[in-house]
Amino acid sequence: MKKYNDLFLLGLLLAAVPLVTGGSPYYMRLATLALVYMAWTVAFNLIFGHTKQLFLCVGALAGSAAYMTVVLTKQLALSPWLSVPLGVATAAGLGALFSYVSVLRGLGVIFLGIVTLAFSLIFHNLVLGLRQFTNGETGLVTRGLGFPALEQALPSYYIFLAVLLGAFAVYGALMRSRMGLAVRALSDDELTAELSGINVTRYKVLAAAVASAILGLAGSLYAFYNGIVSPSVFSFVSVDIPVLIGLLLGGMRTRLGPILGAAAFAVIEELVRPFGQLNVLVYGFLLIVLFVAFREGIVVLLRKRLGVSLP
Amino acid sequence: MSAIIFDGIVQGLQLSLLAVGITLIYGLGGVLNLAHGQFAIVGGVLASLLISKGIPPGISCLGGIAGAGVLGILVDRTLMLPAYRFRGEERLLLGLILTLGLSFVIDGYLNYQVPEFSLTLQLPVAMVEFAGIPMRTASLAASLVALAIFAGLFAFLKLTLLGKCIRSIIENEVGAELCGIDPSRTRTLIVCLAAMMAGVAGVTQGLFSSLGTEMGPEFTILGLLVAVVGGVRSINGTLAAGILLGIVNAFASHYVGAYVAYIILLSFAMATILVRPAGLLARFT
Amino acid sequence: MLLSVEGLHAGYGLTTVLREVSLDARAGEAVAVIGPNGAGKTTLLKSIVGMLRPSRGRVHFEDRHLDGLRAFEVARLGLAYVPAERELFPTMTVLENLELGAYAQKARLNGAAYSHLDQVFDLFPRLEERRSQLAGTMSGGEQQMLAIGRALMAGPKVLLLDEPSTGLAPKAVAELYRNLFRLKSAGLTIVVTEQQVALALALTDRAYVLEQGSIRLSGRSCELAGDASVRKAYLGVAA
Repeated sequence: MKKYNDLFLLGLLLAAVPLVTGGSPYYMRLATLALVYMAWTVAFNLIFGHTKQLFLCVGALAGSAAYMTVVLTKQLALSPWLSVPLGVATAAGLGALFSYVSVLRGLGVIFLGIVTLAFSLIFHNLVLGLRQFTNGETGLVTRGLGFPALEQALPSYYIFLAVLLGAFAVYGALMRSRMGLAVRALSDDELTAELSGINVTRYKVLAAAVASAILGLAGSLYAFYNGIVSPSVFSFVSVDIPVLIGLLLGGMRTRLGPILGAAAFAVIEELVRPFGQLNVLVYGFLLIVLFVAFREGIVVLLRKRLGVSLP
Repeated sequence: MSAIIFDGIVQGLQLSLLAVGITLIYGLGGVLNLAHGQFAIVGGVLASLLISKGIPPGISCLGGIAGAGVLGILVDRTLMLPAYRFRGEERLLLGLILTLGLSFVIDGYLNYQVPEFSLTLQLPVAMVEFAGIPMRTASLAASLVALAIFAGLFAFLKLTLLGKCIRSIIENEVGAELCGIDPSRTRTLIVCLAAMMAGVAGVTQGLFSSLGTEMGPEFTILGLLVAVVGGVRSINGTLAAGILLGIVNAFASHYVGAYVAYIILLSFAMATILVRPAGLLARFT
Repeated sequence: MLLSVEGLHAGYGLTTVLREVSLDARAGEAVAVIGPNGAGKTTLLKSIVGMLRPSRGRVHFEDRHLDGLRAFEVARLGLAYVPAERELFPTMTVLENLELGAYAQKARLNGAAYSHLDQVFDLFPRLEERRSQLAGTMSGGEQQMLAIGRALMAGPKVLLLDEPSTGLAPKAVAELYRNLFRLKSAGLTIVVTEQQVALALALTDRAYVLEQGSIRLSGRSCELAGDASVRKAYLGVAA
């Protein structure tokens, strides 16, 4: 069972974190949030890192699921056991749709990026415009909607840990399967892959659907955990940028990269907090420096420096 | 009805002004400039700075625009160098990230340093009549400036040797190099021009209503949308796309609320990109 | 020796395509490089004109090294390269394409230049007929003419052509080589790579046989045309 080694170790390591935080609600929240972003970054690695689909709508996808879930729970008094899967399906459907259309129309990286960026904006404005459902800028309160576990610190942490490990496992399984082989061929040379009989469309759309589902799952649960869902929670700056930086920091197309990267970003975010308004400037600076000097990410760097074969 | 169309054209011209800079930078540098809106803001901020020092508004605006141009040169000659070492998709991606980072740096800095910034310009006469339609002088002035710039640009590109060199690089950089044309020197010139055009758009926004530091991302996105709809390598397409999207926006804003209008505009742009990915006026894909 | 290549090693990424390749061309000579697909003919030409950086070896032109020069700098020195893909400007007219070709000469002679337009039109009357036509709408043979015409506008000292007969109908190929012969007779130094070996050997004075990245044979074209292995491999003649 060597292949499940890192999953096991990771799970063990992360499960021990609450012992370190010593029950401090601030650090527990930080750690839990880090788990959410790790899951998102793993998903983004699948979409962008491996199948080169520049989805600039990570926040919007997660947010679509979140809002769908919360609105359904509130308006139709649905149990979260129903509304969460519906939310996940929404995100997965949207992700698959974008992927399918872009392959169909032969959209290059930038076009898909622009189209998904436009979707991010549409989502944002939809939420603001449909205020009778979404309560606009103020957002909706998500306490007491039938998911008590997510209203307590410790259970929340382990729920999100399960989500992350699940995402990690799914990612691993996919990459080990026929699809993983196809995806690796894809990222080298898409045309050759297609000509070798690999169904490019199927794998890209599958990757997008699975990744979007993960985005949606983490997003919906996050909405309950956060106590409130509002446009700013899932905005481009709140989600897409940290996920992008996290993936670049950690290393695209590596297994541990998204996790290390998201963790690193969480640390950076804390360090940058005292700067107040200038944190945006720091993120910008980071993006530039990262991509110029550090393009391969932590994992690859560690591989080279320590000679360790990190996944 | 015609007033709405007129309004749309006025807005559209400003969008085109922003977008054509993005088209040029993409055509010559192979990079999508995500910090383009910030060039516009910087132009406005510099103009405002000069005005506060007592320099007449007209000169200050020119100064601001020139300043935007200088910023463009600096960015092209320093920040973008790592991107220019690559070609094709790698360069595009690297450029995207670098300019995204730059946009954050500029935004973060301006929001921190001059959060209260607002550029508002007044013209001596508020309303004027043009072709029987009463217009704000600001709209007329801005549109005339935009049209003059476009006319100059087209003449430059079609008639002068340098203009032809620029077109050749946009069309086929390899072919241009084989003709002995140095793409990187020409590119810096174009980035400078593009940044100045963004500066003009920023300053004229101060004419229309007011320019604030938070408008950077919106400018960039609108510029991007128009550029991509028009065909990211076609200048004629960009002009057409800007006017088209301007008119769509004018109609949408007139009949429905602000949020829905924006959604309509975005959806329209998305649909156009999906239907004609090569651009509105594309002939050779 | 106008152009000489010494010990060239070149490739893409981790793949070495050319190994220890040397060739030269004297002023006024026409030299052919023949060989099968994948032998490295395009790689060789690209390395000479600066589109590819060789890992080892040198290229000399007149009395200087071309090491590290960018493609546009090499073009300005007087080496005109016509790639297999032609690399024309499709939405610009024939005339505009030709005008741009003259840029290299302008850059070299600092402005005041003797326009080669008349000579080009003289050589290719079809181009004069279609001077306002968009390059992208022309046939394969016409585009090839335009590509060569554009290269000639720079008043080059050496003309390098990569498989110019590719994709052309036999009549067009014959016309192409007639024109190349006229250029050679006028004193232009030509380096041409070809898979259409017979014509290349008929045009040129000397030739090199490039196989799998190395020069296997070289010598006078007429002798190579008579060589048994060349005839068998490239001229479809039983030994």
